[in-house]
Amino acid sequence: MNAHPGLRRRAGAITVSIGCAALFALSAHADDSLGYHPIQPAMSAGTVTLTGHDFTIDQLVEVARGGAKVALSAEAKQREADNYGLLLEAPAEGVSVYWFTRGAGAGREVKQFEGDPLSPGNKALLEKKMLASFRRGTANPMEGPEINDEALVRAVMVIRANAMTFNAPSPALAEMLLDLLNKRITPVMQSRGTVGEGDLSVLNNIGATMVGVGEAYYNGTRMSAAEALGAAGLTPLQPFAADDNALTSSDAYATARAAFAVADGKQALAWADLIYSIDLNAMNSSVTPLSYLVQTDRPFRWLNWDANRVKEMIKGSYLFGDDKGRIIQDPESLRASSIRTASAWQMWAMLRDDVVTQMNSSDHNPAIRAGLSPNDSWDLAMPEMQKYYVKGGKNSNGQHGFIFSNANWDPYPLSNDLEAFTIAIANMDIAIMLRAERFGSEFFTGEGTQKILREQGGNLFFAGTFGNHETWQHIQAQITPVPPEGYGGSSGVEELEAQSLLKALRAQTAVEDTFRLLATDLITGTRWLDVRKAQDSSREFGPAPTAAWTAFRKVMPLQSDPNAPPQAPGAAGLITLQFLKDNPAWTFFPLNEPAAAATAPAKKPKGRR
Amino acid sequence: MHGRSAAPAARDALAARALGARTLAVSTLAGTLVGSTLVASTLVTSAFAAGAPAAKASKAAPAESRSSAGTPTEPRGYHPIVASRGGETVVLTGRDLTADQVVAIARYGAKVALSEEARRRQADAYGLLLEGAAEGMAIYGFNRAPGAGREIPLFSGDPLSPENEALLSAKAAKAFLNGPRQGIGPEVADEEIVRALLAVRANTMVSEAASPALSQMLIDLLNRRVTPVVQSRGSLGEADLAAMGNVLGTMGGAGEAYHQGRRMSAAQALAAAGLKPLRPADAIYPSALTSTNAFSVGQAALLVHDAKLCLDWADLALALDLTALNSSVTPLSTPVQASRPFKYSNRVAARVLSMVKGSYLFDEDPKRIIQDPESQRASYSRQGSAWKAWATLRDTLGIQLNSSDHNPGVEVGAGPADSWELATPQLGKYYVKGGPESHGQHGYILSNANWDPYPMANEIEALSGALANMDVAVVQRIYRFSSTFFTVISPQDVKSAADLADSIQSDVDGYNPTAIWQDIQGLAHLQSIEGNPISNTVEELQAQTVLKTVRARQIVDDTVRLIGEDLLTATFWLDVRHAQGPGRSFGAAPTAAWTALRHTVPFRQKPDERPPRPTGEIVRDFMLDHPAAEFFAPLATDIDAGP
Repeated sequence: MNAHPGLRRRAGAITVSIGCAALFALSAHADDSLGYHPIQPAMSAGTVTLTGHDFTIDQLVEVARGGAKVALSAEAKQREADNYGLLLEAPAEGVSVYWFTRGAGAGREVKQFEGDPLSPGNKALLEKKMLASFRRGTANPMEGPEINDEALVRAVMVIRANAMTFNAPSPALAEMLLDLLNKRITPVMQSRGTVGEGDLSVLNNIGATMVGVGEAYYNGTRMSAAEALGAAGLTPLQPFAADDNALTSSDAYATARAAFAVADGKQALAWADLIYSIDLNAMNSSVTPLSYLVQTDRPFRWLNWDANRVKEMIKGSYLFGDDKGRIIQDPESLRASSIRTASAWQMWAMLRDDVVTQMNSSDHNPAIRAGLSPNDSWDLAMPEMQKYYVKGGKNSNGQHGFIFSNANWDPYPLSNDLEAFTIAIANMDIAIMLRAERFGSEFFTGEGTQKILREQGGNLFFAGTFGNHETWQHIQAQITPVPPEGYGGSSGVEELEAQSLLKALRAQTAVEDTFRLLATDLITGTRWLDVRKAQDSSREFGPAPTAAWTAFRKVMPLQSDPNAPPQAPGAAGLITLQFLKDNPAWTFFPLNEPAAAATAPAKKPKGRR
Repeated sequence: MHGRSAAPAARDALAARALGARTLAVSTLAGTLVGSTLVASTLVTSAFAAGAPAAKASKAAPAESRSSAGTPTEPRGYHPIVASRGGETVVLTGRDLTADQVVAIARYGAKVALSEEARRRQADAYGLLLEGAAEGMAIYGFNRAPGAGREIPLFSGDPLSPENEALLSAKAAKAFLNGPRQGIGPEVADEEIVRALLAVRANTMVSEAASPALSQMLIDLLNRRVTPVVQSRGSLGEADLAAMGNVLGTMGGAGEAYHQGRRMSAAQALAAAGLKPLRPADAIYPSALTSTNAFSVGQAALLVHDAKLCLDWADLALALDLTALNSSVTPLSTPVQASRPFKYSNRVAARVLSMVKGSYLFDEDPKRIIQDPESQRASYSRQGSAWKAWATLRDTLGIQLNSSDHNPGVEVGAGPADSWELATPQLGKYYVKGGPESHGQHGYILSNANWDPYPMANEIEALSGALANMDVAVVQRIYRFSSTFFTVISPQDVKSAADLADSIQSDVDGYNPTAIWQDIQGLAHLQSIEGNPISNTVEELQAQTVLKTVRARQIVDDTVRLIGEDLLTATFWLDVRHAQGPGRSFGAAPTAAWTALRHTVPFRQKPDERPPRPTGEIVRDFMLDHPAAEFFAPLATDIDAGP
């Protein structure tokens, strides 16, 4: 039951049926005046076990938006502990470790300390250094505005907690990250400060909260971080070893946004299919493009799947009966909608798979692998690689392994596929925007139909308004790719950027705007279902369109109550938007998308040619 | 070497105008900009024509012939192909055409033939079309008008009745005459682009209701090298009607065409090839030819083919860079890759690691830095991601090349029992029971949206984006060689002043990589998505596929140039590293590529002995003549395009 507060405010006097837990992340760049949006921890009784291997987007949503708790699996906890031991052992054996015994960035060849990090001198040095580093991590207003969606910050933390099982945090750091999630201490986090690979600044904000510096939210209430920790019964962290690196060398922020784009994108796409099936009924369409035969002419897996899905939605409808008023083929937008939506589904699946892989892999530098030996692979036996081999000793409980500098922070192909998804969404949206507009002309709706529409009266809110065009303009603005760039930062060492944050933001914005287009489309489509029913009361629309239409009419009656106060401007759109978000399309028609993202030939048609 | 300049052959008018924001200005000025640096940097190319793909074929062609395609100093003109594979025949089945086969036909003049089964399918579809009309069924674009006229009957009854045949023949005759009037200039200047269009249509038309004579004419045009003059514009990226109209005109003897690369009237070209113009009575359903995306799909096939060669070189160039910088190769190592299991990135990392296997990079070296600049370190990740986008497009293209993109779909042999919806009254309206025209065969003729070239249109842009995101790493890694903060040593430390005075200086501090990169940045901007209300808003959806494909091809060409600059830098530094440690090995593949390039671009050469051309262009020519496959096995791309 968590509505967007801005939405509530703008909806004015409207009573909106507001459903389940917040489904939508807000843009980090949203106006701060909209306020902070704490989660509704409806799932806080559940616990998601993080293994580092099998974290799903659904689980992410449970933790981030539903407040589910987290725990590490025993294997993950052991891996983290083994890695930490190896990290401590490496300097004792004289092995250089980037961003530990060596400086970061351009300081890669600058020694920070030598010998055993647990020796009294080194221990004091590292404790002091780490604490100072964490304290510096407070949210920098220049990297604002602050993220006002608690769910997003929780998503960042849980993604980091899962992937950090491949790295070498101190046990206290690992535990503190879980504690923040489980006790709902949510750091104040800035929305900017990353170039899209290595979200260091943003993750530093978490570090500051851990040591009790800066501000945080405790159960949704803002206070000093020290107060929040105290209220939750936690003692500020004393970070050690390479904890600043362990916490912050990650793409968790962009990954979290990408994961939300996938979660919300799924709901938008499922609605796009269902509203399309309503539109087909509404237009008295010719459904031949969806037929099995036409689909086997172009055996793209996702196209065939989507066409079949929509066809099944309208099974039993009057569209399959003979009808003298039906035109041989619809306008292109209506005819090709399934193709565009299917192509968006395909890119969605590709992004989904990327996000899942990204969430369950290391995006950290350096890579620490306890237990590996030189004879495990030809390259590991080479002298160059053996420079980074830790033989094992007391700090590692005798375990050996390698610590390798790498480029795992480069969030590709995720970064590319975020843009590809936005492009695909926009190429779908143009068809949605146009098809809604075609209902304004009897050249498509049929002779005499506009008169019925007018006579029915009721809530006339149609496509073709500036609002629809404006939404489309916003979507157009999201598809301009973020120019890939490289600048000579850190003496030219860190000169490559990925802009993943911007790409993820655009994808999220495109998804949100798609909901707006769909809201208009739903209003239009259902209005015309009423017209088609008035034309012939015996008409059926198929179970899924009928169920959605019926449910929608409960929040948006055809005829408004004459005694009710006048609606606020835009009320119909806002009610519809909320309806779409509160009621996933799969409550009306099951969603069984293909597991594989790749295009592949469907089965050859049977029994012909 | 410079005689092989297919690269310049690449310059076609189409490209000059297809530059997005620059479109108008460039296309307007195209004629006057020839030879200027602007044009040189903005042309789409068929650069690979003389090089790699068919390295065998290319090498078989005499240099003189290839140079006829144009040299860097030649004025812009038509670029005929060199039919070095004219002795081969590709059998079209409608089911298994590949991008490589399209290139063999389009670029190297291979001939085509329809399989028996394909010919029969086409004839059956034609019969069903005629029968459907005879049975009184409404057929979009045949007995119903196209576009907004979808409900307007054009004729009724048997299309082969004397009255109807006369009507339809008169319409066909008019369509022939109107053929060359379709579209917008400039003309396509590369014969291979037009032949790609013809080849793709010949294959996909197997599914359509083309008359046997129309079908044969398309085959004949390809096999006898009658290549229509085709305008580069006029398609909205779904249904390339204008370009196909140009082809139809040539078939009917209207307008102009090239025969064996020589321009003449279409009538003359047909006669020179021993062909007679198509009879109007054989083109009573011209839509079978023209309702297709073959113009964009043909170019997409060239794109997929050329992009693979480009990406193969990108991987090899990275291996050279690693040895040139005395890099730390830990990012490519097995455990690091295992910690981030993205298939194509892993595959490229393993590939590049194999390329440098045996090199001094695996020996201990106290001067080696713990990690490289980000561009060098992450290049494998960007390249792997570009390979992934390429593989996705490859798979989609494979289907697009072998499926119907025509409206309506003519489905011979299908019956009401094949799927539940086919048994409903609505679909029953489009069921052909079968009769004399169809030799008793039944089936359906269904309006559709198969002209909407998705997901291909999206994936072409995705490839462009992935290449640009790869190229930014390439351009950055080139520039890092200019600082001892990364190289540790200076060339002067190990090379004599005399050596360096006559050395081939890379463009490390130069403008070229950035100039190329700026061009790529511009090309990577997407096509605006629009829906313009054409045909009384019936045809209000557009896909811009031609423009997307042209841009992607241009990015590939620019990427080859950028990698050329990269090679120039890397090989210079291999000489330096060799001087630094004469016993050093660089691995088999980098050594072979370096050695081969040195035959073309010696390390030391007196200035007056060096060719008076940009060195980057010479390196590019080298890459086109020597695909990376000569030095290391191409990336096995048998894995699917998943993550």
